[in-house]
Amino acid sequence: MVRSVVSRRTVLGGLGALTVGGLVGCGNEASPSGGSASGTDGPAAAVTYQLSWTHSVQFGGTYLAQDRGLFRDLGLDVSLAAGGPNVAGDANTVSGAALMNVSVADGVARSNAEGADLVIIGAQYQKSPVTILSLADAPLTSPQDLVGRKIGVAGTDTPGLEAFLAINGLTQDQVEFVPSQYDPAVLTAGQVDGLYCFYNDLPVALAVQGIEGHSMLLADFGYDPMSQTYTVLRSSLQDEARRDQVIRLLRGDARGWQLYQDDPRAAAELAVQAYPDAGLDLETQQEQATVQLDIMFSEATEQFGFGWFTDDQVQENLRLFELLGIEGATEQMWDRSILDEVYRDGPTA
Amino acid sequence: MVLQGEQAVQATGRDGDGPRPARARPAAALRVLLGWVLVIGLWELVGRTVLADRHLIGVPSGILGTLVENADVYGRGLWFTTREAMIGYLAGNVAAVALALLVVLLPGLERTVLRLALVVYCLPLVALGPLLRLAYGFGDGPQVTLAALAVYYLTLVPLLVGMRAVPRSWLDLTATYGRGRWTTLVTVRARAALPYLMAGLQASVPAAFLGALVGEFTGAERGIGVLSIQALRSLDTDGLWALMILSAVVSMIGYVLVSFIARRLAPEQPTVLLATPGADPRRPAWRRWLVSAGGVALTAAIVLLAWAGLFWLLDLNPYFAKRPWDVWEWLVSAPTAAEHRAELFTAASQTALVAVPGYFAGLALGVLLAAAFSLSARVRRALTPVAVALRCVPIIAIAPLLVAALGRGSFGTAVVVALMTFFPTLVSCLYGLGRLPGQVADVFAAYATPRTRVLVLGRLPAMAPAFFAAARIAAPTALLAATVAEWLATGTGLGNMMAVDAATSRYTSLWSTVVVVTLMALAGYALVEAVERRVLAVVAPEQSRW
Repeated sequence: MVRSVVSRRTVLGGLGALTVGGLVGCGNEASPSGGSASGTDGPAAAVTYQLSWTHSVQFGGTYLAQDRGLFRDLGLDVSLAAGGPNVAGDANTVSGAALMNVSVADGVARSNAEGADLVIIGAQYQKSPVTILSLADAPLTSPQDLVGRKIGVAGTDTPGLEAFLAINGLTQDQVEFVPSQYDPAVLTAGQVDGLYCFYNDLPVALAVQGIEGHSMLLADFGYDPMSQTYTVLRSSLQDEARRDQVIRLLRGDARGWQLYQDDPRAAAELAVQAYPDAGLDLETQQEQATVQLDIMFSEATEQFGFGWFTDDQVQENLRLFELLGIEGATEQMWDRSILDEVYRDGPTA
Repeated sequence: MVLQGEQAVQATGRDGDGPRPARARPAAALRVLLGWVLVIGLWELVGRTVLADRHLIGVPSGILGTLVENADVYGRGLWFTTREAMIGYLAGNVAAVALALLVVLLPGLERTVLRLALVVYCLPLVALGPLLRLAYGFGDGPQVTLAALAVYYLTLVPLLVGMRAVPRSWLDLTATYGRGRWTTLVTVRARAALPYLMAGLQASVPAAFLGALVGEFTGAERGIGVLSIQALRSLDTDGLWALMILSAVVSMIGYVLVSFIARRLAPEQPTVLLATPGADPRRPAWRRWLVSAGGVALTAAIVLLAWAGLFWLLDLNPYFAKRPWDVWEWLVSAPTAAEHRAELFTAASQTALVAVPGYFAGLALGVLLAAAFSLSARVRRALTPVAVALRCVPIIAIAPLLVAALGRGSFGTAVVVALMTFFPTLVSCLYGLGRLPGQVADVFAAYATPRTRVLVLGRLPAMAPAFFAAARIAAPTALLAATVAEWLATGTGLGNMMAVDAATSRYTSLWSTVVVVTLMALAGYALVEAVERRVLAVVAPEQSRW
């Protein structure tokens, strides 16, 4: 008898522990503002930083900041949350699961149109990485080349491609859209003539595999949504303690990217070493690390600092939103005060 | 690898091939070896000539090289995913058995429980994934949960069929002794249900793996899913194929293991299930309609309550986790609701045009393979690994290959849906074919009936309950598969709509689409159930009551 009671209790206890564990786990992640809010002397404040994709050197500067203790020096205990095909980055910030996420301007505008109140406080990319990749023996070098061709594009990117065509005086029926995901095999297999993808992603993969490709940056032809944006809740900027954390997080991240600029290959090595289970290939990572310098650093970053954006960019993005059919976005969606604070003494964080 | 179906065949000793003479064994092994060498050689040849540089398929030498080179990374990834899959498999199947017990003890709940189970089963990954990540935070939670969700329905449905697969006389016997439902359950139903349970357990092995794998798409840091996204985007075709082969091998091991246990546990021959057809007094039509309508209303009420209650309990942010009233507003009360409905209706019709042909193609494929497997052990041995592989590999990994082979038209998508749905049907039907009662098999044997004739006259009717269990499972599965095929290949329908909604934060639209998918799945399920009831009333009357 006793044994049976004990076993039942054990089972119930186990079940209880499981459910409680689940709830506690969720509770922890949902409160990024825990810990000390002020200065660097108290215990480090735990914050979650949501990345836009699975781990790779795409976030190399952030890894450097983490690895070299730059966040810790600023009194932050940062958890980096990986993105992926089924990750809703903006939603994680809106729900408070993350303090900040890496996003894209049109995505943020859409989120806000659906009831979020997110603000862009910086942009890692100075130029949109969106590109149309083609094979070198049949390169697509200008928007006109797209006429009559098959372009592979994921359903989620269709509005972007449509806007690009409209900007360049083309219509949708002049180009054949082929539904596809971000798999370069559709291009090598000849199922499409061009593939809508990202400059520092599939083109690099192609190059590393020894296939010559041609990459046409849409930003060079008028389609330039602000990309890899630092995105936070407006309420986080209004709350004194949270705002302070945001400033520290951005400062630490910018410092990481400054290190990255000096030695991108070290960042690639760090990415491979820090995420041994991500299946990263060192050669590809180093290639990517070098390639993305083009879109991350510019005269503007030299002059004002990493992550900078200008009022002109904001206006250009607002015009783009109209083309994309996104309603309700205004200049209020951007806030440069955090960057101003970080770069108060010049373009070095 | 030997399935229950063949066990029954060999148990009679006259129907099957019988044990082979010992001296034939080395020759047979040599033949098998030569076959493998030939297949792999051809594969390598095609990959290096016709398909060279197209990155559609990995070649054996390259795959082997990648495996050796990345042994530790792939090994760890495989272990992580396998562990998630195993925990999910366990949890999902325990849940299935618990639900089945509940139904047996309270038979009135059956249809409600099954409908609720269906609703949970057909929640699309694109809506559920981010939600689970929000609820669990970092860690394995979403992967394990998705594996469990992929599994429990596959076991629950056949298990309930098995619980009813008992002769009326046995039930009468326990009743005569004045015993209740519990004794009946333990002494009679549990034994009868064993083969059906095993069918479910076997079919759910690769499903658990796939569930864990796609669960890693929700922001996991490790596992085969993470590695395969990386390989896919790096154009590392050999690496991708190596990962898929590893997944297939692990699933195959699990599958064979369960099959081995199944043969140990349920060696006896099935008995004739005598039951008088139509013994239930027919209630008037209006009363039956009333009961059905009441059941539907009850299910709807429970779903809505659970939906709102769970979101409230977990304190999920209403920006992303829309509540029932948000969906109501979107579809019914908002000024633009008519537009939303029209948009959804168009998408739903497109999806139906993919799902319905795919559903029948999948069922046909499952039944034909089961019949072929039961007739020829060689076919079974050759194709079982392929069938398991197709079930545990995410379709996105071979999408360009499928598109190259089948195109993006309705034929291609129907085949993709069929490939994603046939497996539970195959396993269930294989077990079903083995349900031919021993006495009946003896009669066939006494008259030296040819095996094909035994199949048509004896085994196929005996398979009916198992087949319909599979047909019920296939209804929601085909619908989900259709949305995946649309996302990958056609860019239309509900699948594309959900992907675009998720990417553009149109969460009210997304949840409304989820509701529509669920309603479609329920409708499809109800149709299959209606057909099932008519057919089984004649072929397997024991299934029509508890």
